[in-house]
Amino acid sequence: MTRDSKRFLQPEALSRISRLELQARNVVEGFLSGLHRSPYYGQSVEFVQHREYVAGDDPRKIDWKVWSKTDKYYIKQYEEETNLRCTLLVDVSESMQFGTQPLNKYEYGCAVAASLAYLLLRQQDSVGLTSFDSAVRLVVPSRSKRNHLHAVLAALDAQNPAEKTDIYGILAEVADQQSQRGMVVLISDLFVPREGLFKGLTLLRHRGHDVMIFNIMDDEELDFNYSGTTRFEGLEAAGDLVCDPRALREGYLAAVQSFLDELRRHCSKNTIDFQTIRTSEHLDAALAHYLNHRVGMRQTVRS
Amino acid sequence: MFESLTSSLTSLFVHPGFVLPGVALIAAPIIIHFINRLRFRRVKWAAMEFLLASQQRNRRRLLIEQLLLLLLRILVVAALVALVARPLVDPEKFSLFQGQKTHHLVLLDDSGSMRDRLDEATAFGAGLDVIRKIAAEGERKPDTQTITLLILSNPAQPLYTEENLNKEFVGRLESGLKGLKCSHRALDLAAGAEAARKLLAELGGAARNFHLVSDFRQQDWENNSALAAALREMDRDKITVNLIKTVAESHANLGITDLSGSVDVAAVNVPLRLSVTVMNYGDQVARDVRLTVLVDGQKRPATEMIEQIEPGKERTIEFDEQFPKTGPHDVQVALPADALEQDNVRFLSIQVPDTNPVLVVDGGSDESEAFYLIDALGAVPEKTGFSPTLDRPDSLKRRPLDKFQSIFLLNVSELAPDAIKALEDYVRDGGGLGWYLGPQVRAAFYNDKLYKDGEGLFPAKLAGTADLFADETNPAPDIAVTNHPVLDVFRGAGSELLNYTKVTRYFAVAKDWKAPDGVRVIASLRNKAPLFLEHRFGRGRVVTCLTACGTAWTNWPRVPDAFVPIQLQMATELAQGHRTIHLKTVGEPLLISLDAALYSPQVEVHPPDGSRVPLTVGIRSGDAKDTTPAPGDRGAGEAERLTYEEPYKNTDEPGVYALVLKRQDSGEEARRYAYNVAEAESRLKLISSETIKRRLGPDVKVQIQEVGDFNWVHGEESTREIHDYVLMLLLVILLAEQAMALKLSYHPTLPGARA
Repeated sequence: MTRDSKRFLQPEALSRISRLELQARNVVEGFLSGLHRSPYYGQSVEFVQHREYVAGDDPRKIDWKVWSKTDKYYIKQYEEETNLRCTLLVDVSESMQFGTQPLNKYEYGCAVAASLAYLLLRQQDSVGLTSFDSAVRLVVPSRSKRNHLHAVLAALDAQNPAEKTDIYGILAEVADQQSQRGMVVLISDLFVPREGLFKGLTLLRHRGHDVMIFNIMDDEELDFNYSGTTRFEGLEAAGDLVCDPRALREGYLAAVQSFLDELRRHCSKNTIDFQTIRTSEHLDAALAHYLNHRVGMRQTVRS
Repeated sequence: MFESLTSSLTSLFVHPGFVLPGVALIAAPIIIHFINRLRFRRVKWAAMEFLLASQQRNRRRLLIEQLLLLLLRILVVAALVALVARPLVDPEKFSLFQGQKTHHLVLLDDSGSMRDRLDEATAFGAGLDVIRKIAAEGERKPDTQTITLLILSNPAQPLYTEENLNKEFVGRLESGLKGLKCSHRALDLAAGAEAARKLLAELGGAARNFHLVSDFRQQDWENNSALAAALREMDRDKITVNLIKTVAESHANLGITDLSGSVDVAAVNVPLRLSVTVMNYGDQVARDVRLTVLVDGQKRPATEMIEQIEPGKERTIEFDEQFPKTGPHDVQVALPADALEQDNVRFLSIQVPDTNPVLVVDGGSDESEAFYLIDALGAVPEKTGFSPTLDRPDSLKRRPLDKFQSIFLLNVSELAPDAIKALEDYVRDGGGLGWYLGPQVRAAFYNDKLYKDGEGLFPAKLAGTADLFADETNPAPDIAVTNHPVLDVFRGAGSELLNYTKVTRYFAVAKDWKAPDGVRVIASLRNKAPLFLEHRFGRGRVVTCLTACGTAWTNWPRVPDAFVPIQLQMATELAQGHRTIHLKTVGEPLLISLDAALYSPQVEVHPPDGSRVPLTVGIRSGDAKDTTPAPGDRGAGEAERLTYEEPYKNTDEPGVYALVLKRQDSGEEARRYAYNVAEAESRLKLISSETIKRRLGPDVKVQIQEVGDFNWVHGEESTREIHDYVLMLLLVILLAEQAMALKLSYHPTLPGARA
């Protein structure tokens, strides 16, 4: 593990969250037996039901005790536990480069991704990573091996960021790549056209993916505490503006609030976990809060 | 171009030099604004979308707010510049020295009250300073301002008329003002204002200002409708009326308002009772007022003292003075120094003879009646001052009566017609006549020749003698007296004497006679019949007693405690007005009128300052009706006689003026005239500006300048007014600017502030 690729792993943060589990809210499909519920019946200790034997069933699963009483062949079905297939979708576009805190949004987002990857790999889940700006830049396929973490961290290093334009295309591509139901974690500031974003998110949900959004925002973006004449230079070719920020503050905050409200409304409608995280927050605190919160939301096994 | 701009600025601002740099300063907020726009910091910004949305929404509001703030800041600078440059609002109207041609008429009040002493100078001096200031201001704009200077004591003749205010004139004016003295006179502002109004009305045309420099006493303005009318008329005539005060506050003042006494009976070594009245014009009680008496310039060792005088009240004290020599004597009473000096001194000039001759005419055969009277009046002439001469009735037509101060007729039965004529002339010219009846008197003759139905010397129509019988039922005394100086002796403790005085017989008045106006019954008998009568005849006075002077009809010569004082008092009373007291008010011309037959036209006037003014009096063929004849003149000539007559006008200084005459027989004669100040000028109470305005009426525009404020001279009167407004405006703008800036700016809550 190079020093460079390790920079997103914060030991203190990891030590604090290492006891937590990231659990899929919905049923996920995986290869290995693991923490997460599987749509399939398989080998496990948790009995679910009996079913009449049909030709082709494994005769080993026949419940002989039931046969002895009923003279019929029933097989025992157990709940299969599987591992989670999680795709981390990390925004490395130019706008993520903004930051007034020690970590800019990109770095913070990467730290979130790295922590999650570590956490998931530790609990035998498989983790894949897709970084994107204007298009998908890099795809790391899902693996559950421990040393897969290196590959994930290496993929987070992004150079020459570009602006994001077609978020729907990116989300659709991700949806296509993930044939099995799993978890998609989107880490971005979401400064994209809302229409495409919502369309893509809906698509992911329709494919049965558990979608989670970490909306990374800088403090200044949320509070806008600038004063004095300032020239704001748009990071994604959004143009320049010379203004007195004090005069625009109110309108700006209102616009940001309505943006966040819109996102939150859409996400709750589609059962998407949406979390706005300030870059000034401690990573471990933010993640711990979120993951604990998520455990509480756990639903029944099969819907 | 630049010059015309500068000159137009000069008429609009007091300090025009500050205006152009000030205008440049106004650009400062704009420049600062632009510099701020240029000096920005750069921020690379991700959330441009929201910022642009906000900007889109607020663009118009922002622009307006920014412009408003900028405007407010410009206004702040403009107001500051205005404060320094001092603009003149409507300069034509307010400033007295603007405009192309302005005429100033200054009326300087030089009445006695202007002698009111201020700290170092007098109110008059302050008035002169005002004139100097006006002149100096006019000199700054040479050949645009003209001035006419009037003084109130001589409003008909301006000191300077329509003089151009330039350097040469200001020099001339200065020397002229140095020679000006404040008069002692009481003068009417209305006369001056009217004269000024006429002068200004003749002038017409250019801008005209009337400056009244005065001390503004209540005395001058109260009930002075003519003054208000003159000022109102001026205002209507578009003359700017400017009232300039020279006295800030009323001062306490004591003044002697009267110094008099029975100077007619003054005689050598006879104590003469003089009374002096002091008035307190202030609003504080005056205590221990010490009066110094000077006789002939020599201070008397003892001073008189008045313990206290209430404010607004006067107190009279009396003191006796003896004159050891015959001739004229000047009495002067002085108060300690106060704000107004002139009323602290009062003068009286008294001609003191050896004795005062009295003629007693007894008609009785044995002259017993006269015995008591002469005894009463002249037993010791050195003590009483009277020297009675006894004579028979027929002597009246022979003797010149002039030299007698009074004549007593006792028990006279009849008088020859020429004697009656001589007596009538004598009384008409101011002589005094005392009349006692008696057994010899014939009522018919008195009614016929002396009473003459009220036309003659005798006051009442007589019926005949009557007896006053003792009345057991009426215990009242025989004589009932009224309050009269002649009967002073019966007043107070003296009323006891009435019980001892008896009257048994008297002359009753006719039943159809009623005391007409001018005849006063000063004592009557128990039965209400009149006993003493007093009336005036011409300039003289007559006291008539309807009973006898001797013991035949009354017993009172045997009550000397009553009889002697009454006779002395009567002689004093009758003498009043006999000798002309030359009491005059300053400013009143001294009319020198001389009989050419007796006097030479060369006279000398000795004013109180010690100088000698020789005069040659012009001839006037006089009918001698309005002359003031000296005692010596009396009866000297008849209608057609040659008279020297000329007024001596320079009588402003209070004091005793001596007029030295040369007689044709090469003797010299001196007449002395005491000049005192008028009482009106002693009232120093000031009138307030509000009262003046109220008196003039609501729509009359006058400017009233308070003491010591000379801003108006520099045309700053108006700027001072807007000065305050500009200051207030500046405050409002600053507050608005702060409020606006606070509203437009963002103030984050400090982390610690909430705790």
